[in-house]
Parts: sequence; C-alpha cells; structure tokens
Amino acid sequence: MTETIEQAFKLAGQPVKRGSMAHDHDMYMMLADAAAQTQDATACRAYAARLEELAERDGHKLYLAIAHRAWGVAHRLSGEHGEAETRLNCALEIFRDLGTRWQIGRTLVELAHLARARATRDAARDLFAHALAIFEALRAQPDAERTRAAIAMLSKDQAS
Amino acid sequence: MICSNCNTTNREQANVCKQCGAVLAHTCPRCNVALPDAAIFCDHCGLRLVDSVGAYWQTAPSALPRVEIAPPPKPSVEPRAPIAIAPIPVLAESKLQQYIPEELRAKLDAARASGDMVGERKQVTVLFSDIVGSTALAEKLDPEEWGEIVSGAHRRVSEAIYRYEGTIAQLLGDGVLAFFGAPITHEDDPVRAVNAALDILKQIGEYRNELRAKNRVPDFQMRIGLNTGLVVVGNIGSDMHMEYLALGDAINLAARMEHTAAPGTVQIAHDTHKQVKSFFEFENLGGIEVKGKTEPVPAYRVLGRKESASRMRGIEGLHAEMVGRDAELITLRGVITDLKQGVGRIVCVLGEAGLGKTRLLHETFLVFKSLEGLNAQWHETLTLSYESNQAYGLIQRLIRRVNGIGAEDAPEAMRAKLGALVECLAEDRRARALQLFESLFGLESQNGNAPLDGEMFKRELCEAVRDWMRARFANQPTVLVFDDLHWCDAASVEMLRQLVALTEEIPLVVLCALRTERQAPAWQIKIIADEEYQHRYTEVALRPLSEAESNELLNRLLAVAELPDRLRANILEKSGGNPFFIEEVVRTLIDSGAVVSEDRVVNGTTRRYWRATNAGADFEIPDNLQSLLAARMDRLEESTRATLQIASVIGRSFYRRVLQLVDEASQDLDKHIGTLIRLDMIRESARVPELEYAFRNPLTQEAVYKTILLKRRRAFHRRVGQAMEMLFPNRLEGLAGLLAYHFAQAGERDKAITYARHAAQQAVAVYAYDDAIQNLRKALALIAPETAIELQLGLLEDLGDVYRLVRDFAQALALYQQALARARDGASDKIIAVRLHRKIVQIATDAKWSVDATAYQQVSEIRNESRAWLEENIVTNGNEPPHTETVQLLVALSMDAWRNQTPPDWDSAHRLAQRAVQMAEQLDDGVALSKALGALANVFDGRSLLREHLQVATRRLELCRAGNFDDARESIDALRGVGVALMYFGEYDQALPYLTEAETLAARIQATDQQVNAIGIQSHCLFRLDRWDEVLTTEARWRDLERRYTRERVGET
Repeated sequence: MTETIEQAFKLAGQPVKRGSMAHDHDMYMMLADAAAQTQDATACRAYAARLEELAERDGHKLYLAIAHRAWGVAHRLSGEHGEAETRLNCALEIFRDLGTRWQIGRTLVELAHLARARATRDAARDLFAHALAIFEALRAQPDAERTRAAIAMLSKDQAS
Repeated sequence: MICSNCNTTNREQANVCKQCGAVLAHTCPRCNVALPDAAIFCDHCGLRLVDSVGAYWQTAPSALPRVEIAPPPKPSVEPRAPIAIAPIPVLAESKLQQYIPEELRAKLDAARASGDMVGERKQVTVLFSDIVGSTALAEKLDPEEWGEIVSGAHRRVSEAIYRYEGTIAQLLGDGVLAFFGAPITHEDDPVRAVNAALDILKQIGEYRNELRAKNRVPDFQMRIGLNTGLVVVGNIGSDMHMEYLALGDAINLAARMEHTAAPGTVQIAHDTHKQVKSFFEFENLGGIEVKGKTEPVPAYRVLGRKESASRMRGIEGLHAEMVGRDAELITLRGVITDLKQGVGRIVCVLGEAGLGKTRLLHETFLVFKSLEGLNAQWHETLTLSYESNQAYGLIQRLIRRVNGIGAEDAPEAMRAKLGALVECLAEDRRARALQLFESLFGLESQNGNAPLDGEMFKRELCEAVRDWMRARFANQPTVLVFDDLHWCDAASVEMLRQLVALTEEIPLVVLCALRTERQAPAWQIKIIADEEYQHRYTEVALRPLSEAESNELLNRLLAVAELPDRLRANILEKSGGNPFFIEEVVRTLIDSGAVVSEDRVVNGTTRRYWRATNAGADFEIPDNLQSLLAARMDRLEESTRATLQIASVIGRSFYRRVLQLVDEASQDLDKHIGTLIRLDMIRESARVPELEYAFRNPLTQEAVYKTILLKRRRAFHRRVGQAMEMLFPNRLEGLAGLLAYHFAQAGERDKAITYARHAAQQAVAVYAYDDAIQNLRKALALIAPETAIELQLGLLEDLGDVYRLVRDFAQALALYQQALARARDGASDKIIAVRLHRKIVQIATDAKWSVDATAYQQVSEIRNESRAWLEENIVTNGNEPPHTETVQLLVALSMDAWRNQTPPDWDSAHRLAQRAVQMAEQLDDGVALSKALGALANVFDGRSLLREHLQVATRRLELCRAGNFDDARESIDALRGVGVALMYFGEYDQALPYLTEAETLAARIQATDQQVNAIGIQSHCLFRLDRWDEVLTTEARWRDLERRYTRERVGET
C-alpha cells in the first residue's frame, strides 16, 4: 500500500474522488496512519514527521493529531514510553476537541497498548473497555473485534 | 391539376396537392361528374361541396368588439376527397332511406340539423360486407330478379347495422360500407360493429334458406370484414349516407379483411380485435398479405359471442391488486355480512366511467365467495349500451341469467324453461305468468289467451316478476347485481323501481353500478332508494385515485419498472386518477413497444422486468379511451361542442378571455361554459389574475382536440396565438412557450421559432432544461435545411449549451460540431468559431472526471482538433483586448492545461487563470470574474497552496453573494469551492454549512451534477468527523440521485 501511495506523489493535483484534489498532506496522513496500524516504527517516524510538518503548516488539526498518534506508536515500539504517552495524550486532546469518536477510540487503544507495555494491566483494561464502548456505539465492528481480542489477551496474560 | 388552395400545379393523377396538402377535387364524389372550378354545389346532383370550416368562419360576428385577427383560409371550393376504394355507383337516396329506422333517423336528423356532422376526425370501426360470387350469380339471373335479391340482402344488412346505431356510408353495388362511430360515437363501437356483423350473417343465413327454397339462388352467401381506425368524416348528404374521406389504412384494411374472409364469415383486423376480444370467440388466422404493407397483417375470424362476456377490464398478463378502494370494499363487505342475517339492502355504486365500479363488484364477489356460512346466490347482469332502447332488456337478462335461458335457445327450449320457471308460483297464477313471460321474450302464446294491452301487460308483468322473485329468492339470501345500469332501458328501470321493495320482505341485496348521469332513466333507482328506502340504502361513490394511489397502481401493474420520471408523471397527470385510464395507457405503451418486458434472474429468481425503450414521455391516447371520451362529447349540443373543441385547441387550461376572442361566433359562451362545468367536463381553475378554466381530465382535452380536422386546427391555433398576443402584450415572455406551440401548429414558422427560442431562454433561466431542449428542438425542426444559416447556427449552439448543462456530452459535441459546420457554410464571424471551439474544449474538461473513460477518449480526440484550431487562430499573449469571450477562453484553456494534459501544465494554467482574472476585473463582469477566480482557485488547489486557495475561493463567494449576481450555477460552485478549501484545512465543521447550502441551491435549480458533488464532499467531511450515521444518510441521498439520473448525468462521483 505504501508503495502505491508513494507513486501518487507523482500525480499531485489530480482528482482523487468527487473532484477533490490529492494533496501531500492527505497522502502522508494515509501513510502515517497505515504505518501506525501495521506497527512499523520506521515508517511511522518517517511519515509522521512529514505529516506533522504539513499539518502544522496548514493548521490541519485532524492530521496533526494523526501524526501525534503515529509518533506515539513509534515511541512505544522503541520503548520510549514517556514520549509515547505525551504524543498519544496530545492526539487524544485534539481528537476530543474535534469530537471524532472513532479516532478517540483508536487513540485509547494505543494508550491501552502502552499501558500493557508498561505492565499496568488494570489501566490497560480500562482503556480497552473505554475504547470498546466507543466502537460498539459507532458499530465499528472490526475495531470492536480487535479490541475484544486485546482484552482477552490481557486476561490470558494475567492468568498466566 | 391545379390546386384551388395554393395554385400549385400537380400531376394529373394526384389526389393531394404536393405543396399544401389540400385534397384535389376532380369530380363530384357522389355522382362522379366533373366539377367546374369554385363550385359550391355539384351542378349535377346538388351535393354541397363547401366545407363547414368556411361556413363556420363566415358566421355573423358576436356581440363582442371585432378583433382584427386574420381568419383562416376560406377555400373558395372545399374539394371533396377522392374515395379510396374503387368508385361504385351508390344507390339512389330513396333506396337507402327506406332502411333507416325511425329512431335512428331522428338522431341523424338532429345531428345534421345542428351541424354535428361537419368534417371531423373520428375513430370508427369500418364494416365492409359483400355478396360472395355476385358477378357469377348476376350473370345467371335476370337483372330485375338479381336487383330484388340484392335489395333483400341490403335490407337485412341495413337492419343489423342500424340496430347497433351504425351508419351506412355507401351501398357499393351488392356490397355495403358502414361506419360505427360516426356521426354518432359510442364508447363500444367496435363491439357494436361485430354484433352487427354476426346479426348480418344470421339473417343472411335465413335469407339463403329462403332463396334456396324458392330455387332462385342455390348458395347465397356474404362475407364481412372489419377494421378500426381513424377516418375523416364529412357532411351527411340528404340521403342520409355519409360522404367520407378515407385516410388510407383504416378503410383499405377493412376492405382487405372482407376480400380475404371465407364465405359466410366475419374477419376482423388487429385494431378491432384488441377492443372486442373479451366479448367474442375468435380463430386467429395469422397474417394476411396486404398490398402496401411489408409485414403480413394479423387477422381473426369471429366465431360467435361469448356466453358471458367479461366486463372486467385490465391488461392481459398483468394483475394489479385493487388500489384506493379499501373503505368502499369494507362498506360492501358489511352489506354482504348483513345479508347473512337475512337483511335486505339496496346499494348504488356510483362513479364516472373507468373509476372501477366493475372491479369493485368483482372484489365484492370474491368477498361473497369467501364468507363462510353464507349459503347465498349471486346473479350478475350487465346492461349493454346498445340495448337502452330494448324494452325490458334488463328484466329479460335477469330472467335468462337466473333460469339458464341461453341467447341462442330455440323457441321450444325457451318455452320449456319458462314453464319450469313458473312452477315456483301458486298454481292459479302459473298460466297467466307463463303467458306474460312468453310475451316478454317474443314467443307466441299457446294457451289461446288474447294478447294483453300495453298498460295491463306492464302492470301484470311487474306483478309476475315480483311474484317469481319473491318465490325464487325468499328462502335463500340473494345478491342481484346490475352492472352498467346507466344504459338500462326505461321500462326495466320502471319495473326495477317497484322490485326494490322486495328488499323489505326477503333476504335480497340489489346491487347497482351506474355512472353519475342524472339524465339516465337508471338515476331514478338511486333517487327512489335514497328517498324511500333510506334505511336500507347504501351509496358508494367512487372518487378518482389520489396521485399516490395512482402511482401505486402503476407500480402494481408494472411490478419492477424502469420508467423515466417524466413518462411516469405524464401517465399520472393525464389519467387524472382514473384507474381504467392508467391501465389503458399502460396497455398502449406495451402494445406500441414503448414499454417492454424482460425476464431477469435476480438472486436465482426469474422476475419480469419492465423498461421504457426510449426516454420519451409522450404517448398517443388509447383508441378505446378516445372513443369513450368522444362519445361524451358527441352528446353535447353542437354549439357547446364547438366551444369545447376550440377550448381544446387553446390547451388543457384556458383563459375565458382567450376563448371568447377565438370563439367569436359563439352567441352564448357563458351558457356553453356553464353546461360544460355542469357535465363535469371542465372546471373553473382560477379567478385571479383572471378567469381561467381547465379540462377536468387531460385526456378529454386530447380526445376532443383529435376530432378537429387538421385544417381547422391550424386556423384555430393561429387565432389563439393572435388572441394571446393581443390580450397579453406585457406577458409575452412568460407565454413564449405557448405562443411558439400555437404558431407552430398554425404553420407560422417565423413566429413559432422566435417564440420557441424565447421560451428556451426562459426555461434555461429557471433551470428547466428538458423544456429548453424541447423548445429548441421544435424551433430547429421548423427551419428548412440550407436556409436561415445564422439562425440554425444559433439554435444548434443554444441546444448544445443545454445538453452540456445536463452533462450529455456526446449530444453537446455533435451539436457544436454541426454549428461549426454551419458557421463555415455561412462564413460567420470568427468569434463564433472561437466560442464553439472553446466550448468543445470545455466539454473535454468536464468529461475528464466523468465516470465513462471511453466517452472521455472520444471527446478528447475532438478536443485535440479544437485545441489545435485555437492555437492556430488565436494568439493568447496577454495583449488581447478585454472581452468576455476572451475571459472565458482563458478560463477554458487554463482548465485544459491541467485537466486534459498529462502531466498537468500548472505554469500555463496559473498564467492563463491570472490573466483571465485581470481581464474580468477590467470588464467589471461579475460572472466572468467568478469563472476566472474559480479557475485560479483550482490552480492554487492543485498546487497545494491551500491558503491562497481559500483566499480566492472566499473572494469568489463574496462576489457571488453580491445582490446583482444572478448566476446560480456559479454561486453553487463558489459555495462548493469554499467548502472544499476549508475541508483541506481539516475545518470540516466549518465546511459543512457551505456544502449544505450548495446542495440546497443545486436541488432548487435541478443542477443534479452540482448537487451530487456537494453531497459527496459533505459525506467526506462527515466521514472525517466520524459521524458515520450521517455519512450513511448523506450517501443515500447521493445514491437516490444516481438512480434517478444515471451516473453519467450526475457526473464525477
């Protein structure tokens, strides 16, 4: 997917959908978010940096928050838990301002993974549960499934 | 042969003038004597030759001030038409007159006296009969003897024809040509014609036996052919036979049916068959070769009457549940349920033709059958329109139905059945009752009693019938159904008035269905039931279906249908909520191939799927509806009828003042209008700003209009147009479409074109693009090829512009190319060519984001040619003098530079857009500046210069919001532009109000592509805001538009 999207940079200015243009920040947003979802620390750093730069330039709050979240994932994967928490909380604050519930849920999931990485299982469970409630309310089935699986895994960890 | 109308020289053999279409007169159509020019009467036989059109316009002016409106052409001689079939001498007047029954003669006299038989277009059923092998027979007999035999045959044929109120057009030697439907129209003329034909065969059969018995002719036989179609009927002669003009097919095909019929049979063509097939039995003969027809013509042999003809309408192969009659059915169910308890009732189901009375009776019968524990009988009788003069026809039918007496039963069988019938009476009453019933059925009494006189017969028959009914129905609940009671004869009604009293004594429901015709004898049943039996009376008045119900019926008829919205709307509008009309229109669409069915497999199930074969919304009024509606019109007084005809020319609705001016011959307009309102044919539709009327049903207007001769129509249309110009000089712009129509129909091309173009401009101004297309197409159709080049060019370009607006790029391109060809032909101004090439380039730009890549490829090739022409002929170096067209060209080229070129040439696009803005600012042209700013905003957008983009988009919107800005499409684009610019900044909440406003405005002006685009971007914003439920509802609106207008029309999605 990354390769495909990167090809699109050569076609900047062409319509993507419904007559709208494909701008760089749109594509970096997709790349950074995809990197975060695939837990690719290197890609996260590369794309999040560029996305953050473009989002700040354009005052694009949503994309800035997505960049923060991608940074948060990259830091967690690198064991930089303090930086990760800061970034994820920044993202969460912006998403809450925007009222974007799905993004809030996804950021809570990342915070839960961070809590798990810090071995604070109760905090992780609370965060997962909170995220799950949001996904269920949104009827975001794949996210809900993944979150349930994460909660189950957490219980399994605890049991073992 | 010189045309007396326009002086054009025609071939000697010509029947019709090649220039003006007038019928060329050579000889008197009655006596074949050559006519002198300008003759008003034939100087040999005295036949009047001047058409009543002339007479009409020569009538004295009304009391109204004379308005200088040119009268229609007054032909000095109204030539009679050549007869389409071989001229055969007609019989002398006295010979034909002797066959005409008195009552029909009275009707014809009345029609003639009132001028009812002036030239008109009529849907008629044509009957040809001929004696088989007459030449050979005549050779073997003395001419006098043969004349007597033929005369005997004519008498029998005539009697049968007149019995069903047909009219003999000509006696053609030993053959007869008759019309059913002219001069007096009945709604069931085809049925009458077939009945007459069967009666003829029956009577000729008896005649053959007579002739054989007398050893005069061993095998005298006749054959008969029928066809239904349009003819023009002319004046009636003093001898009561119709002079007529034959319009080809209808007459010729009837003659062909007769020629190919087997001896002793009736053969009918398809158009008759489809209207009578539920009444008779047929043998399908397949196709018959007919001269002049490429395909064999379907023909059917009539085998006889069906034992129980179905009055149930509907479309073969289609079934629709009854719609909109739930409350009425519940009422009737209550009546049937009460009958179970022995409660008698009188019920009248009232409603105009086609509202579903018979269907409601059928549904009631189904309820009757389904009710458990109801050991009851249901007897249904139907009154036929041609039996209204047959005394006690209904009572006979009732007795026949209840006692199983067949129409073809021999006298002895009938006598036996009547004998059985009276068995239920008291013994001392039987003999008298039998005598009465035998008299009723025309049987000679065998008991030797003297015949009864009129009054006594009436009284005693009524008593006998009442006794029989009381005895027959007292012990078993019974429903007696009388359908189409409005046609019932007076004697039967008189008896029925007394018989309904039985509902007080026995478990009997008398269920009548009749039209709301207060002058019909049967209306007395409703009155007496309402006044004297109120406690037992139930009235069910059927109303027209609502639009939603009509739509539901349409959906049920064509369960899965892809009908263009305009066609659907047209069906619903014209049918006026009348279910029969809806069904007939659907039937016509299916018969004509305008709507076809396909079997499609969906989810493993085969379903019938209906679709329209073209995008047209028009359809011809079905033949049987034409007859039904024309029959109503024919019952009007002539002067009222003439007013109605003129009103029909004005249109579906008409101002009183226009009618008054056009119908200046009418002495008593208000009286006629009052009559038409009372008869529910028209209604007052407005008083403000002025008195206006409308036809109650749109199809009535069409049916009336179709009866008027083309020549008279032209004259009337001209007068209507002139009257409107005179009465509304300050409203001509608003009336342009109507004026274009009237002048086009009048044959005044220049005026028609001018008004049509105005109308198209008006339509575009209010975004009624389909109307604009229609008006421009009509205007183009009025221009002869190779004439008025500049005008043609302008119309082609206008039409191309409208097609571009509705995103029909292929049509638009073709029209622009045609316009370019005309521009070359006419050596037009270069700026016109620049404009047309620019528009072609813009189409390519529009189509670039179209969903159809192949279409873009085709457009792209034409765009390359135009682009090359522009590069060769136009220098865009920044020194052009300011001109709106140049701004538009710069905008088009800017868009072209980045949309149509790969990779995008952003530098050129930016430079061209900036120059366009500068030039538009110099011109102080708001719309041009908006377009230029739009082009510049696009460049900033494409270059990801989002702040500049938002800045320019905002400036553009401010410009469009200024009070004097009146280009709605630009305003929508500006709103969308700001919404998109905000979206790129992630300001989704801020973007949404602009996009919603753009959607609303686009919907208001029917700019579907812009509407869909605005919805799509809203959807994107909502998605980014995680407002998913709203995304779903938004996308549902988008999909609905795509479904209604197709993806090509809605554009980039």
